[in-house]
Amino acid sequence: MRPLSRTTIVVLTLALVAPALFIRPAPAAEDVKIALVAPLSGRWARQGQLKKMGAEMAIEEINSQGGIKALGGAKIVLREGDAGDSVEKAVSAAQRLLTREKISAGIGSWLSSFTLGVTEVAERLQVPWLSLSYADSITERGFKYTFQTSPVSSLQAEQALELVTDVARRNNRPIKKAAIVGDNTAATVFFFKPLREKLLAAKGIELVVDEVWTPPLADATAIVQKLRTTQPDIMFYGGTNFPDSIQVLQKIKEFSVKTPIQGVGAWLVTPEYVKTVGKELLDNIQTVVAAHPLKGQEDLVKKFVQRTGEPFMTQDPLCTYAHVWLIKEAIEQAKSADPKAIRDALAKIDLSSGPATSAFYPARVKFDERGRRVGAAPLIVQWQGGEPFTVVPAAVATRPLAWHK
Amino acid sequence: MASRTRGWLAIAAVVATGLLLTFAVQERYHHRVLTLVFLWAAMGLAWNIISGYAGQISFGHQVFFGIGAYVTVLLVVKAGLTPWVGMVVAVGVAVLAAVLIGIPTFRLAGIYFGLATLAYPLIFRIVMDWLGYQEVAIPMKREQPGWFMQFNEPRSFDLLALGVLAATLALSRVIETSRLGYRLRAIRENEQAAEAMGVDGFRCKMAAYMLSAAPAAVVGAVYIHAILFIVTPEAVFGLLVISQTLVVSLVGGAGTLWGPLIGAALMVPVSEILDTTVGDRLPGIQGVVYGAALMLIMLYAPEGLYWRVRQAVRSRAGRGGEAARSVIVAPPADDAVASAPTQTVLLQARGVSKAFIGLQALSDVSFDVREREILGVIGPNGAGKTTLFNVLNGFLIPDRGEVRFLGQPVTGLRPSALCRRGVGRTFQVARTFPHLTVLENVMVGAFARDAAVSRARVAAMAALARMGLADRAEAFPGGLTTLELRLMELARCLATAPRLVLLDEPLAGLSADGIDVMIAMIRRVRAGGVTVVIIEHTMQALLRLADRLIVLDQGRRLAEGAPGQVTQDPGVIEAYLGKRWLARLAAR
Repeated sequence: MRPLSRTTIVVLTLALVAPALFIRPAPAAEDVKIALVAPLSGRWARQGQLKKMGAEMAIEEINSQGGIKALGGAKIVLREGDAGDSVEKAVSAAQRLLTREKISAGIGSWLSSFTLGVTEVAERLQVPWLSLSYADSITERGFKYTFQTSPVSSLQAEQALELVTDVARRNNRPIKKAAIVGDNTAATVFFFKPLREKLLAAKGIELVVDEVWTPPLADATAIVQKLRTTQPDIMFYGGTNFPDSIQVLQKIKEFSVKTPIQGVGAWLVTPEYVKTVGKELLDNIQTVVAAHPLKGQEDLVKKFVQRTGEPFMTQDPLCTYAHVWLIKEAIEQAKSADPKAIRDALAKIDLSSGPATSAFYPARVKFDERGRRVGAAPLIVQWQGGEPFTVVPAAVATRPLAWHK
Repeated sequence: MASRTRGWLAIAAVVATGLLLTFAVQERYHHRVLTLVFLWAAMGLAWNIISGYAGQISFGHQVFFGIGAYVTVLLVVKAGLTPWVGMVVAVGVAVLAAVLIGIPTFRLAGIYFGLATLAYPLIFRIVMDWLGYQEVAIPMKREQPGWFMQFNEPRSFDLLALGVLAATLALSRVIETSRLGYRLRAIRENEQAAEAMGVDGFRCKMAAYMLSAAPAAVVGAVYIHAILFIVTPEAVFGLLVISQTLVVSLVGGAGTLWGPLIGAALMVPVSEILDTTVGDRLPGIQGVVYGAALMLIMLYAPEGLYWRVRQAVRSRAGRGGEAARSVIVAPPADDAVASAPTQTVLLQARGVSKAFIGLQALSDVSFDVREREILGVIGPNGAGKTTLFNVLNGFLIPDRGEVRFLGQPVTGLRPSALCRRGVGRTFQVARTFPHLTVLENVMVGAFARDAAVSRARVAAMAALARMGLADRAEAFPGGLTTLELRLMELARCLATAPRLVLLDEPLAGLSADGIDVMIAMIRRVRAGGVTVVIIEHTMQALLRLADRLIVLDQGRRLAEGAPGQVTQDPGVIEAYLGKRWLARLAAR
């Protein structure tokens, strides 16, 4: 057989390669790496684990539905960093993750002080970072790479008070006297400050009890005694530390104080509360959160419960689930796994449907120039029969609000 | 001189190694680890100044770290002041805080001091919470990153931290080799003996505290800018800061500038390696492994790695090399000349009384000490001799009565002040500074007269030579015989250039030969123009030595006079031997 001429070889080769040159080739489906920096050990390990569960669920969904289409079906992989129980560790973990590998985007780190430190790293290394932390300061530093999906503390206080007084009025139980009871951790302080300084007075509400402690709380008796004698119409409650919180609630039970409790944060809706203080007392408690399963998310919650064995889904897994989806959408729009491109996509993104918006209320994801989600508003979650349900706003509530007797 | 340059060369070598690593390391995360090593080493060194050298264990040293962090950051946030200047302000605030904390807290000794220091960072945490500084973020200054210590290049932070480390090393080195360093170590080893050698314990400790607050504040400020980027009370006043400081210092070894350096170079990377390897797979396990490593080190090298290694090296080098020791023999009597007591009264005790709950240790004791005499104070056990001594040199304040030295009232003066006026003392049980060499022990005494280390060394060597201990200068007190220890104490006392020495039972526990040597040495002391007061309860030896005797019994002066005369005194015989003996003596 005659050997192929050189020309033939060139032509054949060109014929084979040409499609690759003319048709834009599907990019090699290289994995897209997302970082999750959360406390996986130490005091807040439970919250970190919950976040991880949410992230893993989202990644499994995305990958099983064909990965990121714009990148030829690239799969998402999660890289976890343990934030431990100090800012130093959290920042170390972020720096390690972001410099060891090409990370497209990051999520974390639960505690606002961790988030403040971690986002510094992300900003310097130009990796977009999504956070559910509430602190106003996170998006007050002029950072370009930080995106905050929760309503910030100062707004939460204002909006929560609005929601609560409105509901109270409609139920003919107007609020005239209020109590503030809580520890002095950052999240609580920033929530209470505006209430105390202007918001309550503006609504004509008298502040009859103002009790703040530095954890750990030695004895709750005096605080609860005051509640009993002053009989406030509502108690704003910020006992972020579980043992302290249990102490206060048990005393309230012991003294049969009937004041409705309005918590300030998602720490009050963990399954552990059911075991420790019982369903009856919890029925008197509602709390403001940044995210909780809404009407229409029953399937998502069911799937999560089946996957993890958790009794219900709360803010931490829900937000992280949505954050992963949001990153996925941003990559689709950027058509690139490059962190800078993803950042630009996030800055421009405007979504109002799909899993990426599922955790948020209202269900729209658009960020302002500071990186805050436009229109972000808190929800009120109420314990009913040992399970927390979204009750306010009514449009997205999974149960109607039960006004306390 | 040679060892001095060697110390500086070693510091230069450390800094050079640091520089080399800074430029060799590529990955950002590795730079971070390097910065952490430098900063924790510096923090350990700061702690080491007060707790290692002076032995005042501070469990609350993060208070200065936190002050450094908060002051610097708040100045940036509120006043837009660059941290380079803010750091200087922070150092000032930290030093001031050290004074304010030190004044009440140095009244407490030992572990009580340590426990009290725990309170201050807690107070600051509460105050910061109360002021609303739960989380203070550093505003990003994109235009002037260098001016605001916000370098994008991680190497810059390495260099900054290395600079802090180098400065702290230099400070430690200066302290270690200065009079203050010797005095601090003396305080750590035996505060009372140091006081008796003219060391004002309070002032020295305060100086050390201020000197250790300054670098801690700088480290705090740099740590926030290089590592955390935000300040929270928990992060800077919390227990993690002090535990990390203690870990690097104790693992490496306290009391030397190399200790914290070794500790940081070892433990910080170990912790980070554990975080990256096992920590990613089993979160939390790194803490367990780290704790186990720490326990192993504490079990097998409780004094710290530096001292452990040094001990091993020394014992290997020293094996079989034990120098033949000369036996100290009594020097020829050289005190015949110019040693007769004069009539000048050097010290005067008038009506001195002192009671301890229910026990009248001294009642109305009066006597004079004349210049250049050897005065013996004798009496049976419990007669009040040591109490009298403690009153004479300021360890106790009498309830009534007065002590005058050279015509000046000295009642109530601190022992260190008395020492500087010329009253030296030795102790009943030799009080040495065990981790200082014999020469250094004596130098602590010499510093009472001269702040210059080189001159103090010369003076100390001369005092040792006079006591026949010149060839033991480099030994540690632990290796000395009882006689040598007592001679060392005497030399240390002489090095303070006293006019009067108070010797508390210098002959106790000595062999017959030893007593001969000691007596000859005491005569030699007097021959040098120094007045000697000796307490003894064995009358025998003192009869040979003293010009005059005072007998105490049950806190009262029983007799006074020349040795021969006193021993004939019936009251004295009764006190020593009982009434029956006296009756037998009378019957003879």
